[in-house]
Amino acid sequence: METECQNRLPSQPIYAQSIPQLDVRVLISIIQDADHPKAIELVSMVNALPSSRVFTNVKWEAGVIDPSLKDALQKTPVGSHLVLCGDERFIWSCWSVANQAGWLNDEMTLLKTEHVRNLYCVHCGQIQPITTQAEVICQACQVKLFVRDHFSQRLGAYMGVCLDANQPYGGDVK
Amino acid sequence: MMSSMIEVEVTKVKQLTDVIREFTLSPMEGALPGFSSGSHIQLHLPTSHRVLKKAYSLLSDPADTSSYRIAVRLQEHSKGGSRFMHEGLSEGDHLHITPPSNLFAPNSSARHHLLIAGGIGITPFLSYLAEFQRQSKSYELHYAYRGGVTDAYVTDLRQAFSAKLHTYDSNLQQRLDLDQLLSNQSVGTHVYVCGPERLRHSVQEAATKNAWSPSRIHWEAFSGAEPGQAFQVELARLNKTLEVSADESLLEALEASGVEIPNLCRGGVCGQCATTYLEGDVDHRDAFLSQADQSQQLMPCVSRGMCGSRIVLDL
Repeated sequence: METECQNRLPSQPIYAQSIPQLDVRVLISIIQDADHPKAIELVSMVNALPSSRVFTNVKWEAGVIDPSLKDALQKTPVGSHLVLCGDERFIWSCWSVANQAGWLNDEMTLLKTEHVRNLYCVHCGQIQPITTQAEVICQACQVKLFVRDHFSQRLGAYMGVCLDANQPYGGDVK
Repeated sequence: MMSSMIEVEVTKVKQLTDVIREFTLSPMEGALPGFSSGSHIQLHLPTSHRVLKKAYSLLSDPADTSSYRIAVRLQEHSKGGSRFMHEGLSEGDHLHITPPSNLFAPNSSARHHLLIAGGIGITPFLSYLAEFQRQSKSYELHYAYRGGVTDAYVTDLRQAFSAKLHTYDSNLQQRLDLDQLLSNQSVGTHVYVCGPERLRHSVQEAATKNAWSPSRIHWEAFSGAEPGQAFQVELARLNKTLEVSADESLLEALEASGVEIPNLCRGGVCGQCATTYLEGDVDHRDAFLSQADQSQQLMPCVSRGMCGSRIVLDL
């Protein structure tokens, strides 16, 4: 499988560059936005497979997914594969549910559509959405954060650490 | 660093079937170190011509550290280990053992544990069951054996765990249909195999057929090194040459000459004893090193030089 970046931290997620050819018992696809070009390509490919289930325009909030989907993820037979297609926040929210249901990383393909991701402030614990920026002010504690590539699967978020050691507290950001 | 040894006394010997004996090992004083389900210990067996080191699974309840229990099957082609355990060891004897280590622990994130045992391969699962019951884990045990020969513990298991137990007696032509078993599991199941090589291969075959991820399959090779042909080994840095006979492993030969190599399983799975070799034609028999690693390293607990050949180790 092609990867986005060769010089990555071990914790940095690997997103598929293309949809893999899979010989599996059941293929489940969970799609955030059915109109995205990657989603359209995915649906046209998986619809040709005999045992494929596609969930599109899935309702979700951080860690909370449509209960019927959760049920489907738990009852799938071993030997199945899961494709999560959406922005990074969506992908890791679904990943968390799948992980609790017993899915393993090598049974999942992550197909990223947009650069929307979560950032975890190590100083106050706030998780906030960001895009590609490398510096962000924490919404909760106002500390100016450096966005590290280090990623927590459990939190589904990148790590934000104080950018300037001389300005360790929020509120006095110039 | 090698783990420090513990002296124990054999406080009970119980003949379970014609070929299986259970041993209770008690500490000389106090309690033994705690252990987790699936752990094993190494026994140092003072046989007539050399000290043999053999790894055995602990089958007792991990909550009980007043003694350890192990069970040993007498192997027809014993290199001396199982024969010594059956014929040379009695109640009251003292032995040296290593503290427990675990290469076969249950997966902590599994939602269902599918245990498959063949014959004496039941032993690590006995320590699983006590823990699973306590933690109300979901599990099922499939136990294949030859009735009257390798069916140790079947009566106890029927009494304690009948709802979760499925037995297959080869004398009665009862067969375990692995393909059917593995095709019917839902995500969250992990499978564990302990038993003869052919059982493990059959489980792996059925798992591959049903597209199981290798990360869901856990196994323990409880057999030790298979004998081979004699070969020669040169220790480059120690400037020493050793002869390895057909019935001893390279690790045993190294130990006999005073070269200590860290090791845990002595069965080719843990990777502890991996040693760099500089030249030679190696018969790799481990299940740990990748093919790329095998071009530079070998595991002396099971792997050997090809018949009559000479290998050079970076030792």
